[in-house]
Order: sequence, then C-alpha cells, then structure tokens
Amino acid sequence: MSLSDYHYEVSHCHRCSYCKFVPFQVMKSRRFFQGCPSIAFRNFHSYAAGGRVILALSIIEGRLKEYTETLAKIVFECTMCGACQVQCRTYNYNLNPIEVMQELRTHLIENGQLIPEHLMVIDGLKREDNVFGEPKADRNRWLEGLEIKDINTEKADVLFHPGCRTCYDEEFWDNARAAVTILQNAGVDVGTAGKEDSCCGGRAYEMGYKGELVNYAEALAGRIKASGATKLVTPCADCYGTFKAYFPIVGQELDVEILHTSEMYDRLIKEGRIKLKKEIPMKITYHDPCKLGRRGEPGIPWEGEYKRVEPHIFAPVPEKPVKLGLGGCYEPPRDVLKAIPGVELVEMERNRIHSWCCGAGGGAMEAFEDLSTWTALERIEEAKSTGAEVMVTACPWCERNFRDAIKEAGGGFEVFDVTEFVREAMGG
Amino acid sequence: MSRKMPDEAYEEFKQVAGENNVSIEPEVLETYTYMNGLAQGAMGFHWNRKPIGVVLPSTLEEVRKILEICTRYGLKFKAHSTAWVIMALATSGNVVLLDMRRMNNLEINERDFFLITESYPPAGVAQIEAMKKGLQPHLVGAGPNASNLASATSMQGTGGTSVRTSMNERNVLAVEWVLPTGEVLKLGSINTPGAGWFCGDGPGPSLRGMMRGAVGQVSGNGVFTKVALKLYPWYGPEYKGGGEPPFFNSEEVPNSYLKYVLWDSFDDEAEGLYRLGEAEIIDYNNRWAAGAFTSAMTTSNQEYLDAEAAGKYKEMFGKGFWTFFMHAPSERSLKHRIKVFEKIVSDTGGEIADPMIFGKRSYEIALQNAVRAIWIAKAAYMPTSANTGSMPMTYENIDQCFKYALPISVNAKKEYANQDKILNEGADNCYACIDEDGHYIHIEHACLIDTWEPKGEPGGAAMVGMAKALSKGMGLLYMSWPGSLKDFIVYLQYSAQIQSMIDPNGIADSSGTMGASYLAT
Ligand SMILES: Cc1cc2nc3c(=O)[nH]c(=O)nc-3n(C[C@H](O)[C@H](O)[C@H](O)COP(=O)(O)OP(=O)(O)OC[C@H]3O[C@@H](n4cnc5c(N)ncnc54)[C@H](O)[C@@H]3O)c2cc1C
Repeated sequence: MSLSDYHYEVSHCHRCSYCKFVPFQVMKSRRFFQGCPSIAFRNFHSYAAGGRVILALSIIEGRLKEYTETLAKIVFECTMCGACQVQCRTYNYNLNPIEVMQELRTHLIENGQLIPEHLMVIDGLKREDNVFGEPKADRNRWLEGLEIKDINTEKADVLFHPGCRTCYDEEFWDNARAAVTILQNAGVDVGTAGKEDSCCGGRAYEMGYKGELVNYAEALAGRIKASGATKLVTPCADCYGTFKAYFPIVGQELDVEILHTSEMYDRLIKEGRIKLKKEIPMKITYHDPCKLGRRGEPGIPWEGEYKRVEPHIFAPVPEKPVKLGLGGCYEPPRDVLKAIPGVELVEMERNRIHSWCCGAGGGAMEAFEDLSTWTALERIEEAKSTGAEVMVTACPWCERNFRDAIKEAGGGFEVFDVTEFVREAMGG
Repeated sequence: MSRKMPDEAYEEFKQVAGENNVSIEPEVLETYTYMNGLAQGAMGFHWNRKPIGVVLPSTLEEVRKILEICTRYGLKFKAHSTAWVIMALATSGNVVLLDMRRMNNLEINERDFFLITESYPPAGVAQIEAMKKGLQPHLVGAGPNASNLASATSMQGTGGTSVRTSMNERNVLAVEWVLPTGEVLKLGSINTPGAGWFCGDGPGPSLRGMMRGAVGQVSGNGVFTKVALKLYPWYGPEYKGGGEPPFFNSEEVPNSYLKYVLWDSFDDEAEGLYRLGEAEIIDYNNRWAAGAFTSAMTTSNQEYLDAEAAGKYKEMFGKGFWTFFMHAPSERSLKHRIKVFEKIVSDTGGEIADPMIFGKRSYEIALQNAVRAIWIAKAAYMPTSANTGSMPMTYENIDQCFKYALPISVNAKKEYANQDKILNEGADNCYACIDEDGHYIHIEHACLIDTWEPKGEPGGAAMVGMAKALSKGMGLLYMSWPGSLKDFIVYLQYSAQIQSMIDPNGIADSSGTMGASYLAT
C-alpha cells in the first residue's frame, strides 16, 4: 500500500474529533477525557489524527506540494500510540487513522523529508544494529555472568529477545537477568541469539524507515527457523508489538508463538511452576504499554482497494480487518500482579484499549522530548489519582520515559516492571 | 482572494496568545480548511477558504485583544469550539480563526442547577461531570463531541432529550460575550456585581434574542467565552459503559424504561406524539427509519450491504420507528409513567417493541442514544460519510411536520434515490425528536451520498424538497425561522442590521447569519 491507496479513507473523515477523546461510553472525567497526547499537547487540529488525515488528503490531491519541516513536525510529533484508531473506529468505519499516519511517515521519508534526530538513530542502527548507535559488541553485556544457551550453538525451546532498550540501558539489566532466571527456575528452556541478537526494527518503521523493519524481520525469521525455538519471549512491549503487528504487515509472519514475559509468567503461575509466596502489601496501578496492548494486536496484512460495490457504497475488497486493539495483551500482566499476595491492583480511568500513552513511542522520545515528557507526566497524574503507591508496567521504554519525566518533575513517584514484582514475590 | 497575515499582526498575536499558540504555517492552516459530511462538504467541496492564521486563546482577555488586533489590521475573525460543523470554517479571504480549544473550563453549580462552561468542553464531558452530581445538561443530537457553548450561543440546539431538557438556546443563563469591537458584553445576572451566573436576563432589556437570532449567528456576532446553562435532574446513578467497542456494554439504568414504538401512519404517529408530549412522561425520544438503524447497527460497508440484503430492518422499520426512554425518581413513579405510556400508544394504534429485538447491539444503541446522544450522527453519515441533508428541516408543530412536510420530503427523495443520485436506503429516512413536551418537533430528512459516486447529485433532492415545500407555503421551516421566503428575507435583514450595529467594522466572518450560510449551501 502507498499513501495514495488511502485516498478513499482520508476523504471520508468526518472531522468529528472522536480521534481526540476517550470514547464517550467509557469516559469518566473531564480531567482525563483526552485520548490523544499529540493534540492534547499542541492543541492545533493539525496534531490530531483528523488533522494528519487532512494533510494526507491534501498531499494525495496535490494541494500540498512541498514537503516541509513543518509538515514533518506535524506528522512525526506523535507517539503512534494508536488511541486515535480505537476512538475513530468506534464511530467511522471507513477510516483507519493509524495506518494513514504510518503511511504518511513512510511517504515523507521516501520523499526526503527527514527528522534529523531520527536520522541519527537510523544511522546508528545501520552501523551497529541498535537504535542507540552503541557498539554492537556491547549488546550482550547485560547477560554477563548468566548461564544461558546461545541458539547459534545449542537448541532452545524459547528464544529470549531482550530488545535494544534492555541491552543498552544498564538500569534494565537486572530485570532482564531476573526474567531469564525466573523462566529457567520454572524449567523453561531458554536461549538468546548471542552475537546475532539485534534490533527488531519497530522503532525504525515508526520513524518511516520501512526497509529497516523488513531487513530485521527477515533476519530474525531466519534465526528462529535455524534455532528450532517454538516461542519468542521478550520483556519489551515495543519489540512485542513489532513482532505481532508489524512483521505480518511487511509479510514476515514468525513461525513461533510470540509472548511477552508477563504472559509467560502468567502461564507458569497458573501451571504452578512459579510460586508467589512473599506478600507485597501495596496498592498499585498498571500502565498498559501501547505496543503490548492495542498496538500489540496481531497484524493482518491487507492488499486490496475500495470498490464501488453498489451505487453510493464503496467497500474495501476484500474486507479489511478491523483494528480495535482487542487482540492485544491486557489481562496476563494484571493476572500476574493480582496473584501476588498483598497486592491491591487499582485501575486508572484510561486503561486497556483506552490507555493513555507513556510518551516514548513513535520516535517522540528521540525527537520531541517535550511531548514525550508531558505525556508521561499526564499519566503519572492519572496513576496518582487512583491512590496507588506505585505504577507497574511491562516495557522498558515506558519505564525509562516515566522515570526520566518523574525525575525532571522533582520525583515523588515510582515506576516498576512486572518482573520486579514477580521476583520480589518469589522471595527476591 | 486570500491575503497573507501582516507580519506586525502576527507578532502581536504571538504576544497575546504565546508563540506556540499562533500559526500561519500553510500546513497547519490546511488542516483548518477541510470539512466533510454535511452541507458543502457533502457536495464534494471538501476544501473551503483557507484562514490566514489560527490563534488558540486561553482567556477572555486574550480573545478581546485578538479581536482588537483584527480590527486594527482589517482582518476578519471566526471562532469555533470543536468545529464539528462546516460553519466553523472561514468563508472569506482574510480570516483569523480562533480555535477555542484552550478555553476548556467547566464548573458545575450543583446547588443552583446550572453549569458554567467555556467554549471547548464537549457536551458529553459536561454531562459526565454533571451526572456525578445527579444532574444533566442538554445534549444536542450532534453528539457528546460537540460543545454545549457553541450549541447554546451560536448554532441550533436540539436533541433527543429536548423533550425534557428543552433546546439549548432556551437553557442559556448568563453569558460572557466579546463583541467584534473587543468590548465585553455580559448578559444577565453576571452584570450585577456579586450576583453570579444564575440568570440570563437583566438588568434592562434582554439581549439573548439578539445574541443568536433564531438559530445562531455562527460567530457573526463576536466570540462567546463563557456561558451558564441550566441543568436538569438525573436520577442516578451516573451512566457507566464498558466492554468492547464499538457497541460497548452499558450498566443498567435503574428506574428506567426503554422501548421502540412503531405507528402505521403519519396521522397516528402525530396523534401519539401529541399525547405523549402532553402527558409529560418522556425523557428522551428519537425517530429513525430503517436506513439510519442499519447504519448504526453495522460495522463495515459490507456488513451494511449484507444487512440491507437480508431486509429484516427494512421490514420492521420501513415506516420509521421511535425510541422512547423514561427515567423516574422512583419505581412507583416509573410504574405510573409506563401505564400512561402504554395506554397512549395503544389508543393511537402504535406497537411497542423491545430494543433487544435485534439483540444487544440494538439495545445498546437505543440506550446510548438516550443517555449520551452517541449514535445519531453516525447514522447520519455512515456508510457514505456524507449527508446532503434535509428537506425541509422543520422546527414547527407535529401536524405540519408529519402530515404535510414529511410526505413531500419522502416523495421528493424517492425520485432522486431511484436514479441513484443519492443512496437508496428507503425514501423515509427521517430523524426527528419532539421538543418541550411536544410543543415543537424537529425533523431532518437524511439524504446520504458518497461524494465518489459518479451518479451522485448532491443537494438536488434537498433543493427539490425545499422548492416543493415552498410551493405549499411551508418552505424554510427550520428552527424558529419564518416559514415563507418573504418573511425569511425580512428576518435576514433584521439580523444584518443587528450585526452591523455590533460589528461596525465588519470584521466578523459570517456569511451574514446562520440563515444566509444555510441558503448559501
Ligand atoms: C452530523 C451532525 C449532526 C448534527 N446534529 C445536530 C442536532 O441534532 N442538533 C443540533 O442542535 N445540532 C446538530 N448539529 C450541528 C451542531 O449544532 C453543532 O455541530 C454543534 O452544536 C456545535 O458544537 P461544535 O463544538 O461542533 O461547534 P463548532 O462547529 O465549533 O461551531 C458551530 C458554529 O458556532 C460558532 N461558534 C463556536 N464556538 C463559538 C464561540 N465561542 N463564539 C462564537 N461563535 C462560536 C462557529 O463559528 C460555528 O459557526 C449537527 C452537526 C453535525 C455535523
């Protein structure tokens, strides 16, 4: 699909603003009625999905002929959290804003309108196979001292994919090691890709660099095939969403079961292979990472076109899969937390498919720090409003962004990973 | 000809609203140029006049200064709230749009039954906060996404709860209004120091009629920054929805009654409505026909076609049907109302049907319409995404609408639908609600059209319907407009005189009045 293939969809936006708000059926307060961080931060309609859809229409119809920095800023100053998609689809079934926004990004990059900060990421990625441009040789420092199979030399049932954030942000090494140890102690046969381990390509894709995603998808699919693994497990929601949603879209279905660590824990707890004995008397709230939740919904590739099937009725032929985020992973992390003695889990107003983003996605963290930080702090306010003592989540990108934002705002709240709670509840 | 924003004016706007809240960038302006759906949008003219700038004010003082800058530089202005409707866009060449998104405050006065809202808060948000306190504002049929302030001060104002919560123009209490000259006019009790927002009139003659004319002056009279609106009881608990979109699951509303009613003829329908109105028992009402129902019930165009082909909605609702909702303070009161309701429906030959008749979806649609006005607009747009509207739209008495106007409208539409100039979803696709216990009725007759349709002839059916209605002396019945063309022109002249008085420099971007912009479409 190219941008012009979306002509029908983008000319059928109603300008109703539903993309901006949590659906009115589940909205709970004026304080947290906004659904889209980008418009909530910038306020101009341009920064809503509806605004970007208009820009897409304008480009397709040849009204906007120049690709400018302003255009790129509008298109990219968005976390690609996908709330707009859910919100729009509760109302308009002829438009998929998140697809349009992804296609706009790819289109701008293909036409040479780059975001400099993203280009740096991509350069680093091409050089070192990670989004930080850090030496490739350092990728496995996180597992020093850990006994774990290397799938290049041994067979393993589970391929553990840590993701760039975990590999290069020391703050998450402990967690990743804990995750592996928890799995191993539960009798899971785990391995890593060793020196072959690399980026998933998801962030590059969201920055508009589709080719990078295709390359990494092919490489990983090859590695998995050779390894004989039956499961791909990751502690990173960003990678999870990439494997589940983006790989199939670019034609690369992985021939394994894709699981987030929290899903593995949930399974193992329910099978009695992980025992959570230690009490953690704490009121907590859980933040749904977008790429684990609504954007972790399995992607279904679609090639087709809108055809006039009857006078005045144009329908996608073949029928287009509906994306409402319902196929994302919502309950396993919650079930894990609820299984911990003493834990009281309270929900934020915007949860599951209606969750508010952490602000780290879509290249926002790399290029639009103000949006990123503001978005995170909004979420922290929501978390605090529940009376929870801490927030727990399931993605190192979310955690990084939350922790940095909290620090910038002077502290006063803490964010943890599900793994930290599991480890603690298992007795440390 | 579109002009460019003078550099000095741009600098001044930035000083007033802050650098990040003013834009003259073509890409930003482009997103304030498009509108689909109704009126011109439905006729394929998606692109409107491009504004020369957009400003996002956050206070009354900023609005005042912005209008002063416009006056100084000879620029026009237009304000909008959520911009759900095409009249929110610029119509002339040198317009500065005031996007009121940052004026987002809302206060509920629980004791005195009113809310004070700035321009932006969507009505649904106001309703959510009010319901927590056992109250509810009026919601227009446009839906919870539209601003209550815009509806009350500037445009139309009817909805399914109008039977109980009246029309929004009648709910207006005190108003804070910036005239095009930059002067601040305070209507009602806020003009008396310390008196608060409880009353729309005084001291002196009421200016509320001038403020909006019959239907609203679509920003032609200045910028409204705050308005107090009446609240009505909501017997609780607050509405709660959950589950999966798009239909969700609603929690049951205690002491409520939700039913469909079908009448066989327009005469019976009219009689039933008069009597139900007189009985003062209804809290929400809405008429739809099969077309709108099918739009609401389906989740893709293919599903719409399949439902059409199956034919069961048409079979049931081909002659239209009503949704009625009653919500009582006690079980006893509800029982009484139900008795009265059933008797009237039976006396007038109506048939009561359970909204579960087509499963949970149809129940949810009915309930969510009744308590949150969610589905009306979707049904007006899907599956084509555009609706060339309504002929004739009326705001008159029930007889006139049902016995005379609607048949004209249905016949006019048939010709067009049969030739595929508009979607052929059944000639009667009339949306209606009775207002104020049946003293009025509002009807709109949907003519759906896809602007990509090669045979489409947008607007034609509406025009023919209007012409036929005019020839029978019913003509331009829309809200409180005078019906005949002659009287309507007099009304427009009065409106223009008022406008030239309060806007001596002619800086408001309005095609005169709502009436004029309606005629223009
Ligand atoms: C599909 C659809 C269905 C609709 N159904 C109904 C219906 O059933 N009943 C009904 O009453 N209306 C209906 N409407 C019209 C409706 O009245 C308006 O869309 C809505 O009430 C206004 O809210 P808004 O926030 O969208 O206003 P906007 O679109 O932002 O503005 C509406 C008008 O008011 C002016 N305006 C807005 N804010 C200000 C301000 N602060 N100062 C001065 N002028 C201002 C704008 O210039 C514009 O001309 C419908 C519209 C649509 C698109």
